[in-house]
Amino acid sequence: MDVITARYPVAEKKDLAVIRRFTEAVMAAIGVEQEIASELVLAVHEATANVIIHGYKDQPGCVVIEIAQAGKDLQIKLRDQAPTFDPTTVPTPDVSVPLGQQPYSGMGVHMMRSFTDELRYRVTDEGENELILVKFDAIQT
Amino acid sequence: MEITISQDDGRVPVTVFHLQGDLADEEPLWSQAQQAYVDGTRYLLLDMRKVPSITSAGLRAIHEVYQLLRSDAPEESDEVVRKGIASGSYTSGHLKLLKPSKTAMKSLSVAGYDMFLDIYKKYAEAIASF
Repeated sequence: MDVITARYPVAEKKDLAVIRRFTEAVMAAIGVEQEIASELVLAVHEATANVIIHGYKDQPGCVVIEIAQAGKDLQIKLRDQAPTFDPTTVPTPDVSVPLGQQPYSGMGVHMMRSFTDELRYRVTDEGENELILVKFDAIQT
Repeated sequence: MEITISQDDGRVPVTVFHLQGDLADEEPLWSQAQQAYVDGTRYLLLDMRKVPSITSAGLRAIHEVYQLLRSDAPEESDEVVRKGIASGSYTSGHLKLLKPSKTAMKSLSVAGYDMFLDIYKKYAEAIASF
């Protein structure tokens, strides 16, 4: 399995654009189909934005992104040292509610779920949050 | 995100925000919309032809702009909107979108916004719809 890693030791909100560009570049380099790549970039953005804004409460903090290719599948691991929080427990918002009456919370996680095939969370042995985003058949042959 | 602003006329004066870049934050869209509202804008077209993608923060900005523009519009009160949606006749009279990209459209669709916001493919049609 080929793994590409990016470590942002003091990631802040302003680094989200850099992280999006990194993710885009890796997707292009390994041949992820364009539409899937765009969606995965958004999923990674939402995951890292949640960590920086809610986990680190807008303070600089470490974020590690590992993108691994296994055949045609793609696995993206995000690790951080914010207080442990499992985003997979966030309820799915009811998007059928009229726009003006929609509660806003949970939209980022909803986008992550929508743009991936699997979303898994665990606390590592080092006590870090680890979120794994999986997309099957993402790589063009 | 860069925003340039122009004016056009449908049946009412329409402000057009031409957005360029990822809609990845609430700013500058929210602040520009607030200023336009203070300056008298009540009908707004978001030209999204050059917006590659929309994040949840970008969706929030669209949500806030939608709320702002209907805040003093009795024809878009919660009750009227509810009835309009139930009968299938609801249109977002004050905020419309022009040609989001495929990825941007996916975000709008995942959030359900495409059910509540009028989306046009052609500029002239979008302007004429106000």
